[in-house]
Amino acid sequence: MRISTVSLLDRSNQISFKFDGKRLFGYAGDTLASALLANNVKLLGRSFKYHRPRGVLTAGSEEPNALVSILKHGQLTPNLRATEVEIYNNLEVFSQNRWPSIKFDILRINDFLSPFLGAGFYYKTFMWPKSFWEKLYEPIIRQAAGLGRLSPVADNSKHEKAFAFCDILVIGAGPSGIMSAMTAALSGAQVILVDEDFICGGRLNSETFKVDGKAAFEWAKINVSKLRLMPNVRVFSRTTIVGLYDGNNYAGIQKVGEYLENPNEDLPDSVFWRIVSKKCILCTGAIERPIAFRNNDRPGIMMASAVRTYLNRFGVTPGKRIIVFGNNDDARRTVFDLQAKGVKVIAYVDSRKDVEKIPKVTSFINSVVINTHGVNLLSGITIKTGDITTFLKCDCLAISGGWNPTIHLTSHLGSKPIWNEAISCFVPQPKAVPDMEIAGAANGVFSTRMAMKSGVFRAREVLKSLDIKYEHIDVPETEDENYNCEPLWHVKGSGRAWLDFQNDVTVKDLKQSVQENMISVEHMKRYTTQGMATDQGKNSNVNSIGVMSELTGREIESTGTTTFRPPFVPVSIGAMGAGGSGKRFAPTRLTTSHHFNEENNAPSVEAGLWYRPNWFPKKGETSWRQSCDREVEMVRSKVGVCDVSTLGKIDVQGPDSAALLDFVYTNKISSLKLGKIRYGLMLREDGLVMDDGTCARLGSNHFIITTTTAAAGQVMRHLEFVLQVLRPDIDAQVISVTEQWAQFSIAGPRSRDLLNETCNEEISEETISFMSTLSVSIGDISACLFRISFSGEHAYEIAVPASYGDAMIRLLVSKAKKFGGGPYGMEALNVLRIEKGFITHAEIDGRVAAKDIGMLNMISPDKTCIGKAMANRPGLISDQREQLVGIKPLNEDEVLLAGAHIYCLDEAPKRVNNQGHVTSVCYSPSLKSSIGLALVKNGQKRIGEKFKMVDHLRNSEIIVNVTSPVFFDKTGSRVRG
Amino acid sequence: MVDSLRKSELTVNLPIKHGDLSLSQEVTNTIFSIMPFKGKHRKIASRLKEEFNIDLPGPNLRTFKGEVSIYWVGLDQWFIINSGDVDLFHLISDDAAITDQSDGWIKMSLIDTQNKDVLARLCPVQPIVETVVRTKLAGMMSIVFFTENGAELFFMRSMIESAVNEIEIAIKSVAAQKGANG
Repeated sequence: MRISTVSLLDRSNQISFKFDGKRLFGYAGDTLASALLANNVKLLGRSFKYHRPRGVLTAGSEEPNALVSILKHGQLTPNLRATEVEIYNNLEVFSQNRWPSIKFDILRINDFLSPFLGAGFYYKTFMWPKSFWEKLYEPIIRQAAGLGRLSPVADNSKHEKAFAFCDILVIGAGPSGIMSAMTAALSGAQVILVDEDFICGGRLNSETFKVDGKAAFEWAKINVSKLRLMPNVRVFSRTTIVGLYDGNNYAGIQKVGEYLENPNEDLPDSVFWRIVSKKCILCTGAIERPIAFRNNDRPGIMMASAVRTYLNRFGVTPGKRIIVFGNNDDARRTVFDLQAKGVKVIAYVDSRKDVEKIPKVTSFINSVVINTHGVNLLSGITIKTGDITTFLKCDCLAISGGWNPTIHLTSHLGSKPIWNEAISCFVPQPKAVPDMEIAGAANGVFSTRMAMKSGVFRAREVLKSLDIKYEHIDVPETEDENYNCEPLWHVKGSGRAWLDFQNDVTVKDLKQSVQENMISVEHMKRYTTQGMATDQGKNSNVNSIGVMSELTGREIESTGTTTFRPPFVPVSIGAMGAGGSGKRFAPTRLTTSHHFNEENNAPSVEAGLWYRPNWFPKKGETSWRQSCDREVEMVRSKVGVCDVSTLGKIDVQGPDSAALLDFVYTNKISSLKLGKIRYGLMLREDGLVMDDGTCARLGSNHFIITTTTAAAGQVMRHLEFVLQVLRPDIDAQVISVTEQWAQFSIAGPRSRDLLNETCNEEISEETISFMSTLSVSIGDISACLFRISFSGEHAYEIAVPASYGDAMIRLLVSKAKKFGGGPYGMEALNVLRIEKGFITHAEIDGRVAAKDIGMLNMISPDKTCIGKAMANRPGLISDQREQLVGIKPLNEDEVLLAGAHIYCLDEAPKRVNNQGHVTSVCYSPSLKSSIGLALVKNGQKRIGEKFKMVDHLRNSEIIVNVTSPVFFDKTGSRVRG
Repeated sequence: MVDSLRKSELTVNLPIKHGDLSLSQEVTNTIFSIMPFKGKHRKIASRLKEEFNIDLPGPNLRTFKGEVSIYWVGLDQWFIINSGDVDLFHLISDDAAITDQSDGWIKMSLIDTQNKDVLARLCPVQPIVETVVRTKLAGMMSIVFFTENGAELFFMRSMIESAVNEIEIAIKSVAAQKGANG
């Protein structure tokens, strides 16, 4: 119920929204929780397991009960905390975990079955009959379980990632945070101040005491504004720091567009920040803890500080007849604030013995609440004082069991908090987190003045460590009251008393856990699921530890805590993967001929990040095979042009460049003559094949090596590693020139003719023999010509500066057409090389040794090289290894499948009988048959044998012949012709 | 024979401008990499000083004189931009590895906010003015020189469309957030 005009709302701006289809109204500055309470909506959802009615418990991100789903632009987002949702016009909200309605939920029957649904019930029930588990029990449980429902449509939310750097990160803009930030900023440090709320100020926005004579919220507003104007300060509101990682990396999630009705289309919903800070001051305050007693989960039962927040910040009273129950002096503040606003306080209940009654309020001292009443809403409570019980009607019970410092971030790097007996809470271990100081309530300093003083002190410590001169700042005058908490974890008695509201875990469940010897907090947590819901036990961890210590007879210190892990609050997967959806998942690398490909309707295939043309369809061709077969025949009989720019090209220079290449290649490169090219094999240090390529000698100390497209980066890294780590004695330099040169393959019997039409120089056997290089020119552009072949045909590759690449492909294709040729794509390239038994990374997949691919003799006996010793291990030269062979179906109409496995004819196609697998397949127009390459055990000695090829996924089984991997032009005469 | 080949223009639409934020191409006539051989750094530095009157910059730095600039771009690696008609191969190739990188890299200029908010969405490295870093920008290997107003960005030619797309998204987002915050 809205009661007061004194609040932080903009009353001139009324907002209309819907909850479960009903239109309601609030004001700008309302959260969904405050607006619903203002409209007397207290029943917000149903609990996870028992489907008990639930309402708002808190006013912050620790909220366990008021979880809602929001429908926005067709997207349903579940499990949002109503206490954090800022209302906007036409906001559409739905309650969760209920059917058919929140007032009447069929699964409320679970509550009556609760004796059978206690902790770990699924370990003991649903066991018989065995077959029913998969068919019946599990589907039903799965359907009933969970909180909220995923959206049925693909996620269209937009997020972004961002990086920030500063000297001092201050987490929390409450009293201690503002003072820390101001101290640091005035001293000249680069400061980032973050707060999860949309209005900075923390508790100052919810309390009625004064700070330096001003209303607390006013003081906060003035000082945060001052900070925003400082050039060395950035203030991030609506930003929750969710994790602390190594190297002083802090992850923060900032709401940007998600709280707006119609955000600009360029606004992201949120920003996922990675903040790297030299130092941090943690000012995250504290979270009020509940007390467990019978039926302490009814709608209308709230934290006492939350009642004050709704009252003072939002001008809302959660009830008309309120009772306050606590074990500390802070709870009394709620009574005073309610009285001051004219709200009826029916009673004040204090569990402590030696405290004064509150004037004008019926006070029950040394008393506890032992039960609550009501169906969907609280209607009354029972109080016990000694042996006397008293029933009182009320519609709101404000509870306070004390305060728990919000220390979660201090544990993210493995530090465990320590128990402070004096203030009955866990506090961070001093200096446990590198480069972090903790101030204010987060460090157990609960009075506002002392928290502010603590903020200044910690900032001074941090400034000293950064060698920044501290500028003095006065601590304002404000409340400085004692806390005086006497712990009360739960009220003993019958009935269920809730600890973890979100996962429906009660004291009874913990008792059962102890009975079954799950006495470690780690076991108790997993057995009962306490602390494992989306609130991560913010409202239940400490109480549960307290209860466990009582049940097991241990001190709280020795009972210990479980581990707080990131994220501090739920973070959407979309935010974590920001910028990675759709095509933005990875950058695209386009060749200089890309636009030519598009103009010619060539579909693209992804080769790593590169887009390469798959085939070039001609008019009238209706299938890719038609195009591919035509292109293969075109290359074999005339000439084809293919962009091969994507293969890695690395420039190697220096006095020891030949020695470097001898070290990284298995075969000898230093003997390569000027202007000549050699095929090279590169091994990893473990002796397995890393890559293959070519090496061209351009000068006495100058080489260009090529790599496969897939391994370009890997080889470059490898060379850097060799030069920096393995052989720093080698005097050579390497640099990628992949991007500098656009390179095109010209392959086929008419390739020389084409080049003679194109280059200024004569191209002949005399000027450039097989495996040689020649400097040429096209017009006035210098180019480099290599006579190499991946197709098995007479072929060349020509490299021009990349800015001429587009012009070059067009020129080459137009010349090729004169000879009946044209462009060819990856499909045809793949067929051509399989016909010749040439390998790619489909064969050298990281598990293959030199001998496996018939290249053992490429490891030169005259020198050492990386991987040589390891390559000669028995395990890498055994005949039982899978070796490269060709395969062909016995029946030429049948089709080979890449990835299929090979089995002996008389053996069952099971894993234990596996003889190898098919690595590459194609239809060969040259042989009029499906052909493939495979790795088969002892394959080189089994040529001519028949095997089964079995593909279990695609249900195919055919008989194949094992052949030589070279299907076409076995003598290699065409390439040299 | 062919008379000549035509250089192709970039296919990305630059400049991009949103309010005070912008991204534009900076044409570089030549880019050459210089990687001195062992013990030859001083010699190379002195040759370059003689020829161009520029110092070879230390790690993460850039030096320039007129049109010519030299960027440190990695371990023992520098890029010299716009060296004009000077034949670098003749000048220093006995003592350093020289390669032409003119066509491999595209240079752009980003004008950013005072807080470098656009760069914040792209670059994981702290933007210290007048420093050069080799880093991933929007997931792509790049060379970044941070300036007072923003940054000079070098991207590999093949990734320029992705790079411009990512930077434009960041610019639009920052411009929209500035608008939303007033």
